Amino acid sequence: MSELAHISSLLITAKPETLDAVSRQIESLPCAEVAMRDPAGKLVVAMETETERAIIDALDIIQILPGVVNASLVFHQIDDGQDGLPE
Amino acid sequence: MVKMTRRAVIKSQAIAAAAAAAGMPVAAQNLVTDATLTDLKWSKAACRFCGTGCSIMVATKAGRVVATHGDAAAEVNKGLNCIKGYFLSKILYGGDRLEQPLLRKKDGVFDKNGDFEPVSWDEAFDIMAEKWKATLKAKGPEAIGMFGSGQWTVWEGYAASKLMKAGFRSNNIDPNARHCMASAVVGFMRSFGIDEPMGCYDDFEHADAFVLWGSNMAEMHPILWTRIADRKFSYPHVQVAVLSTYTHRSFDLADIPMVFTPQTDMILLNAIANYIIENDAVNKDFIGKHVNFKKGVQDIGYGLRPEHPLQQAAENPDSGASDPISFEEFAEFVKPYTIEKAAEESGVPAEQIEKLAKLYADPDTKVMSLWTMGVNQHTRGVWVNNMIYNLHLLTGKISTPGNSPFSLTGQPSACGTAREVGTFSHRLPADMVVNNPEHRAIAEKIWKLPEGTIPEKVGAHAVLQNRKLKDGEINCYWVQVNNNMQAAPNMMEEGLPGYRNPENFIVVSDAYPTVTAQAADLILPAAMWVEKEGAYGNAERRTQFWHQLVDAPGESRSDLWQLMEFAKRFKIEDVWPQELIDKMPEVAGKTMYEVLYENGNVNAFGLDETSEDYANDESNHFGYYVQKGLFEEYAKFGRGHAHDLAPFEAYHEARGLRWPVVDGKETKWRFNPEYDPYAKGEGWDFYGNKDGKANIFALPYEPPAEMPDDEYPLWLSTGRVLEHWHSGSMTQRVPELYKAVPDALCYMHPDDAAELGVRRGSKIRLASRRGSIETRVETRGRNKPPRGLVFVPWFDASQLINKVTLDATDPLSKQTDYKKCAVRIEAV
Amino acid sequence: MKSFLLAAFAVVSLTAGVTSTGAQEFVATLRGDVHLADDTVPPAIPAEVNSDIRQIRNYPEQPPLIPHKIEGYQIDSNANKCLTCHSRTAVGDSQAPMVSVTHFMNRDNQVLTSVSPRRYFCTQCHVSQNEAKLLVENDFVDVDSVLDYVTKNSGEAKE
Repeated sequence: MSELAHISSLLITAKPETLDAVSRQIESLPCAEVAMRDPAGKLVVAMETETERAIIDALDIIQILPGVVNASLVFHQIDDGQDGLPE
Repeated sequence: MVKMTRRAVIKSQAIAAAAAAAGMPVAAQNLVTDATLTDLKWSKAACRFCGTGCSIMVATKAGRVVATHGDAAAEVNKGLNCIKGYFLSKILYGGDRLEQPLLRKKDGVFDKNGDFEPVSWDEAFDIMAEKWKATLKAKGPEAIGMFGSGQWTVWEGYAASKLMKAGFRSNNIDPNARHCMASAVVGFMRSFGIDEPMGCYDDFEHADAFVLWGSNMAEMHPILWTRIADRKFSYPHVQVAVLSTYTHRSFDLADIPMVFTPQTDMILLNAIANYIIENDAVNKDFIGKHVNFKKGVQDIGYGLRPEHPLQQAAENPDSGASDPISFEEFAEFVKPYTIEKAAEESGVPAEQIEKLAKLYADPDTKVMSLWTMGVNQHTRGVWVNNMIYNLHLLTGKISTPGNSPFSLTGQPSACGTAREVGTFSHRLPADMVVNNPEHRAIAEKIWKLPEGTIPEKVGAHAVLQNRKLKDGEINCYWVQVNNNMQAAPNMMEEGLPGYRNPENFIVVSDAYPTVTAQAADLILPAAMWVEKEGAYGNAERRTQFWHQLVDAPGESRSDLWQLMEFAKRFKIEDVWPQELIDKMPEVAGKTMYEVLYENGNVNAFGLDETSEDYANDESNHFGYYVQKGLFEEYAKFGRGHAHDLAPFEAYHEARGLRWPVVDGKETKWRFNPEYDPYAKGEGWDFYGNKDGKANIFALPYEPPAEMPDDEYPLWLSTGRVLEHWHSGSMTQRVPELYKAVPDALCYMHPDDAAELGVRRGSKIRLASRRGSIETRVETRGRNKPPRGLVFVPWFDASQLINKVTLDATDPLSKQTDYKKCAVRIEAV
Repeated sequence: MKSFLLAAFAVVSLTAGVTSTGAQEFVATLRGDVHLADDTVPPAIPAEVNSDIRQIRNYPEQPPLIPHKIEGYQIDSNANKCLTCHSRTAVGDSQAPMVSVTHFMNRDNQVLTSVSPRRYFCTQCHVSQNEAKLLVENDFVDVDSVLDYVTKNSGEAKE
């Protein structure tokens, strides 16, 4: 079922001085990218995974990174590859 | 591909959701909000395409046009554009813009059979001036010619006309408006003694019925069509009649659809006149006070070469003469044109004709008649114009809101530049003509030139210019801002041999390398549209200005710069005989440029008067406000003569003004004292004619120049499509417009196709007695011809349908009939 | 500054214009290398694009292109096929984009209860596309590319 894709976003709160390090570690995950960052200590992470399990796994990893205060799932949509735009 | 796109969209939604949850400003990442960066400079301009004259808002940033949209403040279009207008931003940026002059050369020197090589402007003007001077010396001014356009700005057309008529002293200058509007012009002059419509676009919101005589406004004048659709759907009593030789998109709105046999429009018009008379619907008071009846001379030929058998056979070739008659004689003249006869000849059911006739006959129905090429491109185009006016004059339905015989235009400045400026071979500004000594004297006085400067002889018109090029009678020829090799009829027998005649030197100024440029010897790169300050005049007498908004690419220069700079290459002694110079000795030793343009008028306004907010390349180059100087000198012709223009600055502010502009007020309905300060007395004053009356003409049906026969069994009509304007030289370079309609096709009836053994998509050869093209069959497209007629649009540089068309013209207007010739089709 | 900008954009262009040095026998790009007197081979009628993928607009004011086939669509005084999917009430079922709010405004910018009759003939502004190969590229760049350029060269490029 490689046609399916889970698209999600996470909101991370971290200590401001650790943002660079946290960002680097998140970017090193195969399915995640840092989409936005707020120097006050927030990151928006976008993810595209093949399964829902992968989202939870990533969340678990990120939550225990040094400097991370909180990580939560904000948005999750399954794209089934069928025609028709989402709007 | 599908998935990627959708996933990207979902992903951006995901990011936005998280950002919103965090209270993070999403704009900071994917939107630029710095006002100094996002501020666009919006300026007004007139659309570059058709004669409707929509006003456009143009956004520029860092020297580039980045957006355009319809101007909400403009009465013409109130914020709307058609598909072409919405893509104006891209017409400047075709990847093959000409940026340097190109000269045919072999071994480093000019050679008619050489290939194009880049040259400097100096070298370009050197060879041009050399050719012009040699020709003037050997053959005189009649061997010089120029072909311009209703796409010239007002001042470009004016400067060109002056250069040719006063400078080189040749009236061989004509605009491509000859192919487009000439029959309308002569029609106006014959019926009213003054050119251009009496009504205006406000008529659209007042009329109860719209009658399209051979016009496909849904595609050709889409914004005016929105006004008709608005009126019709908003007021259920409103009727729309559409007449054409084939079914097209305008029929989608028609209450009275009429497909008639080519040329029988004349029979239909006379039948309606007869119906009005027989049903006592003549406005007797109106015709008694405001109308003369005349009978026109008949059998006037077809504007072909004099040796053509059809010309030889004509009893009164090229005659526009007429004799006064009475109303009773007119009634007797149209009596044989019964509804039944019209139905029989035209193929339109009698009840449909009667429905149409009733619209005109009913005194309570305000009728707007509209026409363009179907009527004007007609070997009896002038007559048909007159015959439409007949209906409005018999019923007195004219020059009041909603009662309006309205001649539409094709070129963006057919009215402003070609007609009002007088760039035709017989004309001077403000409806004056070269063969009237008083008119020449007025022009010479305004231009500060000696008496006898302007030649009396009417110059060669468009079709005659090509014939004279072929015959080696015109040897130096300059084409500006049009693509006549693709437009002019009978290309294989006249146009192409004319341009490639070894005796001739052909110069083409254009922004893009057109088919005409390919046929030239020297190509000059031109600035276009908002790369220069400009003015156009639309079909309702509205004059509109715009500023230079961006710079022209490379070494391209405006037509105005080219005309005036070329004039510097001549001493007045090179172009005028000594006896003319002797009449005004102070011109001796001056350049033609100094005599024509540094004459105290054109150079009267300093650079300090140009706008601080916009560039003006020509003014900076010549050292004075050249557009204002030319405009103000030109305006002297019309002020006080019912062609009054407002002061120059007013047009940079307003969304155009409709002339005559008297005391700051524009004129909506001419000849009506209620609206027109020039009209005197009660009711109507047709002041274009000395007796204040309009003319109704008794004119018969006469057959077209060529009709289908056994050898060539089909009618061919040519025309345009919505997505492409002019010859496609701009619109074919806009990817979205190109991909909407990429190629010309031969629209035909499926039964005709079946009979020929072809179907949609089949490759065919379409041939006339003059030439042929290969194209493909379309049986399901937007145009649905009846059996026996095919339609091919002419925008496609690869399928030059003018190889096939006939160079028969209206004998009075000299306008080509592009709507009727005989062809045959075979599968290939 | 202006001319510098133009030169920079010109480099981005991938098309071979007529500005190149050297002699050329043929210049009429739209026609190709075929003598004016000769016939060109008419290309086969291309297929109408039917991908349903919406295209980026060149600027916000540009009417969106139609990303599907419209052959045979009826748009006349009796019926408007486009509105069967794109009208306000139809988009729930069709999931097609609703006609823009501008289409409800009349000539005097008054908002009507339904689509203004002046906007009734959709194909005057919206066209579908055919799978035809461009004869010549277009070097128009949208405002974002201009802004990118301006920001990268900020200081010198601001006018």
